[in-house]
Amino acid sequence: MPPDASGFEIIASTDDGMVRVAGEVDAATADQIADAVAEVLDTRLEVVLDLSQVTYMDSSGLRALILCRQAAEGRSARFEIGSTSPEVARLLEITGLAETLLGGPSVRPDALGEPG
Amino acid sequence: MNGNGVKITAEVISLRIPADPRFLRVARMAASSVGSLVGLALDDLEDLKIGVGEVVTSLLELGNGNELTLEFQLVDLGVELFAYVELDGPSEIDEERAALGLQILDVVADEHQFSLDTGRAAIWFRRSVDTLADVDES
Repeated sequence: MPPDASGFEIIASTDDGMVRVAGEVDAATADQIADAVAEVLDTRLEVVLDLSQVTYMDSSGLRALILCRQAAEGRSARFEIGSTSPEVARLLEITGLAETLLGGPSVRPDALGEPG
Repeated sequence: MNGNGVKITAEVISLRIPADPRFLRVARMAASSVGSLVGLALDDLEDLKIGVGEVVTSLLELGNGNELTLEFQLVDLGVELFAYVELDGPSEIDEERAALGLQILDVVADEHQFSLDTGRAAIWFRRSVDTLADVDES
């Protein structure tokens, strides 16, 4: 999806399981992250979210990250936040979600792989 | 009223925005502009933007499609926001998001207060210059 006026852009790749998000994440855009992660999970059991280019995030964005993790857990898939911008990292610390969302894979490593 | 629909009377800036998440960014941009008028530093401006974003997000959920009113008040070394929405129907509150928003507000606001009266939900929020940081830097 191309960037909008806020610079929001999301690129999901089912080839490598990467979902790259850029720009401002709020109630107007957060659902697109969950949709993109769900799209990747349709074909892979591993998804990595790159939030290093996110310039703003609010509670709607954090809620979307929680939903992404839950979606991965529901499919016994691995969900990882690969990198964060300082803005996102601060919010994760404020809300105590850093350990939950950055704490590592949501399932055992031997559960990884592509759906058979 | 200027060309952007922002009314400036004395030291109050009023802004009415449609009940559409796409206008969250407008509220944040207005907050940043107002904060710069009182000389907030970049970190303070960022906290003000984050706080206003959380306030508006919560009122959007509560307002069930009703227009929001934001009144920014310039105060000594800071900005106060009084924002409200009329309530005339069922609201869809995402409680987990709201709890996260409250945690964020606790950190970025000097003070904040929520009131729910008959027919109206309102949030008051204040953010001032981070005087502790200024002392540390001196």
